[in-house]
Amino acid sequence: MYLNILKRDLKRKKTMNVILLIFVMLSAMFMASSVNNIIAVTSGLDFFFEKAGMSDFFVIEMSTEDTGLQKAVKELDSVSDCRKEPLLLGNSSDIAFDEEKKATAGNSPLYCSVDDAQLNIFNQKNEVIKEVEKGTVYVTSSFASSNNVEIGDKLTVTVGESKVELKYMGKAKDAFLGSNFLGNCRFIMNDEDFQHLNKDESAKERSGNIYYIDTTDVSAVKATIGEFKGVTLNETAATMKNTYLLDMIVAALLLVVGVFLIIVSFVVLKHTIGFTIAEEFREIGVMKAIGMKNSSIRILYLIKYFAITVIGSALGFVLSVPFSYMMLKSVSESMYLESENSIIVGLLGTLLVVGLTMFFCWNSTSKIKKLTPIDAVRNGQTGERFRKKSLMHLSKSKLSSTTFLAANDIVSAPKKYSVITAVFAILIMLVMVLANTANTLKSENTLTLIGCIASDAYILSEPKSMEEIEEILAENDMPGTVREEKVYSFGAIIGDEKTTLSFQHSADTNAADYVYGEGVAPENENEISISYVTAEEFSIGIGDEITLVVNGEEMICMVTALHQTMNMMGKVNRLHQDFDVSSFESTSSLGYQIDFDEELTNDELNERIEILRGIFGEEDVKNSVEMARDTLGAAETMEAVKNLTLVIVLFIVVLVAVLMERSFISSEKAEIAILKAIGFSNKSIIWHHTLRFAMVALIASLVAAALCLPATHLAIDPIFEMMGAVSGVGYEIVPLEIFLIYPAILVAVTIISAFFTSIYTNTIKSSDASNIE
Amino acid sequence: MNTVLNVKDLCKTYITNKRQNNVLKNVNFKVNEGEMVAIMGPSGSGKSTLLYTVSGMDRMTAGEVEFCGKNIEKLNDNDLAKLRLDDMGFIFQQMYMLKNLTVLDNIILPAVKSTKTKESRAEITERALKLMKKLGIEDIANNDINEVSGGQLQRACICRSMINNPAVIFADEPTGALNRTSSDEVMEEISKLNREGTTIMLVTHDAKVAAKCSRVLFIVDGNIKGEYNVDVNATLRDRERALNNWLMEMGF
Repeated sequence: MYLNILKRDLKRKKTMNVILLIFVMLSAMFMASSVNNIIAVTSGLDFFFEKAGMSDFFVIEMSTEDTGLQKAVKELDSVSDCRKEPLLLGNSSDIAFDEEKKATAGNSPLYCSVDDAQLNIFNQKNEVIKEVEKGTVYVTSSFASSNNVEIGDKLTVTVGESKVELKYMGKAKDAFLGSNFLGNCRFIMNDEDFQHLNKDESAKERSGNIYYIDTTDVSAVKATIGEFKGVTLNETAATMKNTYLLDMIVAALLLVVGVFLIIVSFVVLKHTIGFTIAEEFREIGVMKAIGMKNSSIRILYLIKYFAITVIGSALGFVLSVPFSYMMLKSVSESMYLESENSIIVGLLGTLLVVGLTMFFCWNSTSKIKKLTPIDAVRNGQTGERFRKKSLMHLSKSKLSSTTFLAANDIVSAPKKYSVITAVFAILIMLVMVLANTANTLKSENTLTLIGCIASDAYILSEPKSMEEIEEILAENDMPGTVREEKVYSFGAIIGDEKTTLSFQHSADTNAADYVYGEGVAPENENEISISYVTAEEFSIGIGDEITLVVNGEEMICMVTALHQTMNMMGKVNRLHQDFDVSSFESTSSLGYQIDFDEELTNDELNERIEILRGIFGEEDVKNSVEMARDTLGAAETMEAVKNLTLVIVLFIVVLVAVLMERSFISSEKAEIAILKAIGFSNKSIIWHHTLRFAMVALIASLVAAALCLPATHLAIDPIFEMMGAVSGVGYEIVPLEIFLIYPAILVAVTIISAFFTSIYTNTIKSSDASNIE
Repeated sequence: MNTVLNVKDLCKTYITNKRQNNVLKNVNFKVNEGEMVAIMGPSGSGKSTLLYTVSGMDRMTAGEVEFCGKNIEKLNDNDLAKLRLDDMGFIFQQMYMLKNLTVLDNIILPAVKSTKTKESRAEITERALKLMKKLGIEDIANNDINEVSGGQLQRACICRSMINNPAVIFADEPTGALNRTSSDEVMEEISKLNREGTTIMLVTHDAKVAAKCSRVLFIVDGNIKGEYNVDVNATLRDRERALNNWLMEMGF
């Protein structure tokens, strides 16, 4: 009997059952693939680092001579090994395809010889690159994605007068410098090619070493290396893992989408079960009247949902395999993952969906307990089953009859419509949050997060001095000021602890021009601002003193302010402009910033930037938005995630609208018939039904737009915090997108879905009014 | 008297599970203005189908139905909807109303939708309240539909059917779901409407209801088997007795 009832039900509510099946399938697919991805990436990171032979601590020191850093570190009791690998720091503008087209290689690329490699670097087949033939090169994955380079392409790498032609052999999986977030590419080449580049006189200024240090006491190493002035980078393995955060974000966002889909599935299931039970009150009453137990009746309904859940989950699991592979593809290009697709993990995720769905179904069918045999013999529509409904009054309203009916339906059944409103609001808010994040990452706001002041233009290459650039500007009738943000690394003594701190400094700007979270900007040369991350790491704050060791001389500086920065994972501090330090001591530069003397319109500014591009190279000149976007490098990833989420969200909106409208039509069959009988045309009925959804979508959009900023803070602040922006980010809200484009998309998609579904009302005839139960 | 409804060779066929079911077979009759016609017949004889087909709620298979001079088979769905809105009124066995609206709002809904007159919402409301007063239900105007009795609700349905001053009111078992007292009250209101000039065509099983009409059409297996003109000058009891005798002759 159960099977017959089930078959009848599946046939009768075909559309609703198919949509439920799709929901369960999508939930299982997202859950299985996202859990799989998260585990693959998180456990994969440990696996990758282990396979690569990563150490506990890393140092990059720029110096041609042996400064004794390796010896000093090795002498520490806590250090078991310190391996050294020579490097040559290149210049992005000195890499070209076929000697013509300039390549983009982010910040200064690192050239290394395969013979000196102290880490296991892997090719795309996960084999250790032990040998690189002369005239060939492997490069970390960010280079390939920024240049669309194909295996076999010819690259010309120049250092001063030395030049090598290298055939691109593929992407290298480099645990130390492979993250897209770092912005540094590593070129692994044959030793002969490496030595050839080193022959040039200018190479001496650009040579250095990477030290891989195995230690149990990072603080002791930091204290020791503080005495070496050429140190440009010193980081722990844990921090290096954080640089893979962006790869994790994509997987995490998909997990969020998966979890959300499950929530939506539950809401939809609850609605559908509730609706089915309400609709079948008579059948349930009769079943009770003939002596069936509550549990037996509930099982009857659960069998159907179990069948849908099992079939949907199985399909979702099958689909999760290629989906998971697609999602992991970009990650596996830069990481050696232990298992790129774990069947067991996916299966567990799928079983979780089945379990949760069935638990939810069991709870939702509890309404059956409330129905009595009396319900079976009651007509229902005019009886006690209905509560007070009418809230608006047509006699007092100025709305047209159809608009009134739509609005009145919503206010008369707030619970029913608030569920749809909440689902739509959360869905579109998800897109808005990602849009705010993507827009922030490519806005000028980001410049403050990397410790820059917005300027008219930026030059990233270092072909000339500041004075020479100013002369070029004057010669081209566009006079302006040039300044440079440089990063320095000094030994520091904080209390009794010795360490190394990084500082940002520009002699040509005023420290007061930068943004600080607490305290006042440094006003004297012995005043500094420290980042929140530094303050927390060393438990220091405003008013504390730090002794800096600059060229062997100690200088006591007072902390006057705290700031946040995403530079070097939040660890860059700021010096006063009058701080006495030679720019030759700097470890890196954020590029030249140009501010033209005249006030310019956007068009004039763009025109000048084009002129600068003609002089300094297409890729090396940026406006402030491009500078912000390229510095963090996450804007495009976030944009892609946002677009993918938008597509998924709209798909869910379509499913929810179709499912809900179909269930409304089913439950309102009598009302539709009576409206037709009293003279409402098919067009009016379709408009009435469509308008309800349009109103709901509009309300959802307004709610989402109002809440999207706090939601963005709630969801995204922790991610920025992990990258160093600990005191919150001023998000870039683009009103056109938040208040017009996304609401319009939501409303349009909802209207289209509801409209096409409501055409089904044409099948209900006015004469059906005679068969009302 | 003008003919408001002229039915010629009306056929209605349903196809169920590939089987053809001829529900109405060449039905012919006329209804004149001011008449109150009852359709009677055994269950499954096609009474309701006839009512819904001649009122344009259901499409005919063949034949011709002229309503107030318009051939309804030639009208499209929108025109039919407009015809139902402006020129027809409907009363059903189940006194169904929109549950999200008050009784008054349910009554004025067709008038608000209609463009037949240019009345303001206040004027429509005033007219609806007058109608309700006439039918003795003015007190329930602002009640929800779950707060009133079946008899009151059916009278509200009569008000709704009257709100656009239709040419004909079609009623399908209007007292079928009511107790005897309510049934008598509702039929009294319908008869009163007819006496005031409204043409009414109703389907009923009840000879007592049919006896209040001026003419009875008896339908069996989709054919009109007989037509009975009620002696309107006789007492209700005599009319009922005579009608029952005729129905017995017809095999009812």
